[in-house]
Amino acid sequence: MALVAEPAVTPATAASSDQTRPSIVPHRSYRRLPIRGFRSRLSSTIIVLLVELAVIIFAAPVAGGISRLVATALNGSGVASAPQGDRYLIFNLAPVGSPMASTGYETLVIWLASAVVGIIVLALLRPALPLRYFVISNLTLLVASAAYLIVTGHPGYDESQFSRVYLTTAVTVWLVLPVVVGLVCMLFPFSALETAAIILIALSYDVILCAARYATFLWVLAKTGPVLMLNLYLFFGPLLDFALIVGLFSAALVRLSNKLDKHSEDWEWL
Amino acid sequence: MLLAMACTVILAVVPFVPGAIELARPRDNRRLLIDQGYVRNPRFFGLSFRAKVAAALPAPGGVLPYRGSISLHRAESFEVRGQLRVPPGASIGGIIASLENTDIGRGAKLGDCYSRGGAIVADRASLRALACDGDVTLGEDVRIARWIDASNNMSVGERCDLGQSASADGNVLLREHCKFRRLWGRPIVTEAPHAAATITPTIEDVVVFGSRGLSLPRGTNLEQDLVVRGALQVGAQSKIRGDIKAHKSIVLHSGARIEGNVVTRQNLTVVGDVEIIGNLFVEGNIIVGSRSRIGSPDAFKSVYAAGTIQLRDRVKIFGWTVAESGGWVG
Amino acid sequence: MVVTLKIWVVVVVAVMIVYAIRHAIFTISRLAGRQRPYYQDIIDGQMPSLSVLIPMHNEAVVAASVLDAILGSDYPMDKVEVIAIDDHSNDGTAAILKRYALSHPNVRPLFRENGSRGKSNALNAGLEAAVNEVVIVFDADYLPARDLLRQLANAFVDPEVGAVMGRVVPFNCDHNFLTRVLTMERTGGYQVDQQARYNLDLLPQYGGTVGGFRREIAHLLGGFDPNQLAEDTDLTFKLFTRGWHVAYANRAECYEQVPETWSTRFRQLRRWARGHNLVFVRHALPLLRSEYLNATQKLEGMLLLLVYTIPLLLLSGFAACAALFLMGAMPIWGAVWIGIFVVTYNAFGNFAPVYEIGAAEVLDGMHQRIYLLPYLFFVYMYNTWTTATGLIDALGDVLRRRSLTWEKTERSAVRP
Repeated sequence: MALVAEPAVTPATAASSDQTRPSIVPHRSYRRLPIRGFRSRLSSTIIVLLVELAVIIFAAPVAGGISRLVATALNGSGVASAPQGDRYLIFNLAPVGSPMASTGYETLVIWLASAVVGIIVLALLRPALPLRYFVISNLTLLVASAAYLIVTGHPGYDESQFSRVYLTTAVTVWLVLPVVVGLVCMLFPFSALETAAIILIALSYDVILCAARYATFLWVLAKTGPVLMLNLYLFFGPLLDFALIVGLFSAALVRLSNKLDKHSEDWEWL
Repeated sequence: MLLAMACTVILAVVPFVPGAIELARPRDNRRLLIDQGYVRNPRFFGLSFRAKVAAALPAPGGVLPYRGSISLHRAESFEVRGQLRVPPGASIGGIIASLENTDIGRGAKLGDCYSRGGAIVADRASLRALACDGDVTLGEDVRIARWIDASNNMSVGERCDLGQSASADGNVLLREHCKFRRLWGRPIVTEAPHAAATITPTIEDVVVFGSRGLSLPRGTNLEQDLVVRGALQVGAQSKIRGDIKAHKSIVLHSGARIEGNVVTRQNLTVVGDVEIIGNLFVEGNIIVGSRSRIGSPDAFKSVYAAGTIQLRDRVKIFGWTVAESGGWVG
Repeated sequence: MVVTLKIWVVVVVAVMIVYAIRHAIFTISRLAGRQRPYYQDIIDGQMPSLSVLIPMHNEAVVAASVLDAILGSDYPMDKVEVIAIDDHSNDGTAAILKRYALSHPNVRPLFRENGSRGKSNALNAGLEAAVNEVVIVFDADYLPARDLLRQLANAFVDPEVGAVMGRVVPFNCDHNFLTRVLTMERTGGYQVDQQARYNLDLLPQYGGTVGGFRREIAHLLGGFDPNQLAEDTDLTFKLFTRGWHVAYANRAECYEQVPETWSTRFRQLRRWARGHNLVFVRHALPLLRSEYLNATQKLEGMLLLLVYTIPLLLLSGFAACAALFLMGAMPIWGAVWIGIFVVTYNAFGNFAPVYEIGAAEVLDGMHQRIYLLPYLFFVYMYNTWTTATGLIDALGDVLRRRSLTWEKTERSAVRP
């Protein structure tokens, strides 16, 4: 039964066009965000690519500048430090070489015992569970670190290797961040300008945090030795970058959400 | 060094600060509002408008015309007249109510209008909304921006645009090339002389056929629900007692009778003279051919299309019609 | 040892990236994709008959509210029977039910004093007693709106739909930090996740409350298994692997109470993780073998089944990273890979559920609460440890063939 369609008599546009649509705000279950036009998405893509290019060009000089600044700060606080040469991908980096305190067997045992006691105290005091788990996780890492040092007698990374790991991680974050933040911004009706602002603010913030954190980490290791190295890197390293990206992103989303509320006609019907 | 450490702490903490402020002094901790009393009513716009207008009407015996203000989405001027006659080409903004009949002239422009009696709207007039307690007659090329509701019957001329919702407690007669999105009527009837589609006979007329779907031949009798993960054709004069669903398009041929719901993820074509005592739920477009009937006086049903709905001549729908992307007659 | 650890880290990060992509796809689908329409626009003069089951164990505080809400529905009451199942209560629940049965002929309570306690057993008893076409289930602390029964029942115009699920909305959002965070998680889970799965023709879940199913199919499938803690997920997979679908009704919203203390939440999440992992054991193979599901649906089904297994995987990956770091072996195949894996995972993998929740809050028109997104990091850590304990419980259940005892989530007396 092949249905042969007769020439259809169809109006040019079916039913009410957008011009006549009343300002009825759709229920939240029907809402969808307005899709960004091709030009807007193209602009955002170009911005991301330009920022990425800028990162590639300036990563090494910026990292070098950070290294010099960190070395200066450490020298000023009595920790002898100097940038050293290194190559990562296409970048010539200069991770800071600084001494790390050596920790004796007794000191390590004290660290280990303190961490264990800390875990027990938390289990007894029972603060709110998320806080408890966060602190216990950190203390567990400390226990593992101290135990490893007691057993093996030396850390997996010496001071210069840690410095290198840190700096290469930082550069990788700078490379990945514009792409990730840009992709996420594309999902929302941010203008190209807003997307650029979010990426640049996130990147700048991260660069400054990297520099300050770098100096802090090396200073802590110079004073306490390698026992805190694991905690510093795993909990306060790239994970912290994630927190700041989310924080900045949430601020941008709040602004967007308020804007959509004021202009209800911007909502799309399903 | 102290500066570096302070910077580290501050920069690490800053992303959490707005959240901490929100926790300490909550500005947005209220629950999502669910309207516990909400009930879907196809005549919602008209009924809620009438309730607001009724509250703003002057006391009986008052001086007319009465002028005041009324708030729908915002405060607007409100005028009440005994009988409303709008001259051709006139333009009246705000909200206007008539305690008797309403006669809107050719090409006139009005905002929201309430008529306690009947309402006649001449050709090419346009209104934002109209609620009428009597019969409504729309001429040709009338444009309703938002909604129209009648407590009795509604007759709609050719090429009218019925806005977001058109509802009547009686019947709704739609002429050719009318456009709509939501319709409610008992029944909705179309008047649009139209040539029927021609059918070329094939093997599918004679046997149950499955290639990339299922084709039921002419005269099939089935008392079962039917689900096809391809396309479905139901042959002419077939009778199915059960719900039917296809993941691709459905074609119901002439004279078929379905006592059950019809659901498809794509398009539905009802060729003509088909009777469906069930709901149509279509994620694509619907074409309802001439003389088809959906629902019955005792069992109102719904015709829903996420796409468009095209109603041909002498279609009768008892109940609710929703065309998310718009519908038309013709 | 080092090579094994490196391989394990790569596996874990790869799995996390898969989940991150999944979240991203869901968010894109919900924000910008074509939304699959649900059946809420159906107005039918011949609605199906309903049996509303409400399992109750010591629910004297809330029993009257839920019954009043259901009896106040705009659904034709001559087509509704309300079967409240008093399951071994020792408070005033039974007395309340008897009072309602006297004044409402369509309220038919069941009183279970013998046999094992538990939601599955209670539902099975209700199923045996039910006579109508469609069964709708509510937990006792829910407050359905007037049109909710109609919205849920509408899904059954589609003969392929075996079950339907609505959206739960916490009413005690403002109680404390935990309830605010749980509200955000629910928002992301329903407004984006469930709706996206429905849009993409994947596997939206039947959640065991604010939902319903066809009575005949439930009988065909043997009712609810008392040895399953997550009877709702069990039903979901039984339906999908046998060709039925679950419809998701984003518009069918209902208030619920979320846990107000961390310890209550711990027990609830642990129970869910335990139950869900038991469902994985039962349904993983049938899912892969089902002729009714395509490859994408099978993949999504596996990802869904593994959702409560992933946290332990994540912990193990984290531990492997720590071990490699201590051994000075973080560079996996050279320095390049440290960042690619650790950074990609942290920056992108952890981020994915956060922007799903952020997107959901924007759609709901909620503003200031979006600032709480960074705090979810701490909650995820908590969730990770909690669900890991649930997985260990499930492993114990499987290996030792333990029978399960049902534990009810504590409720407060606060009502909306």
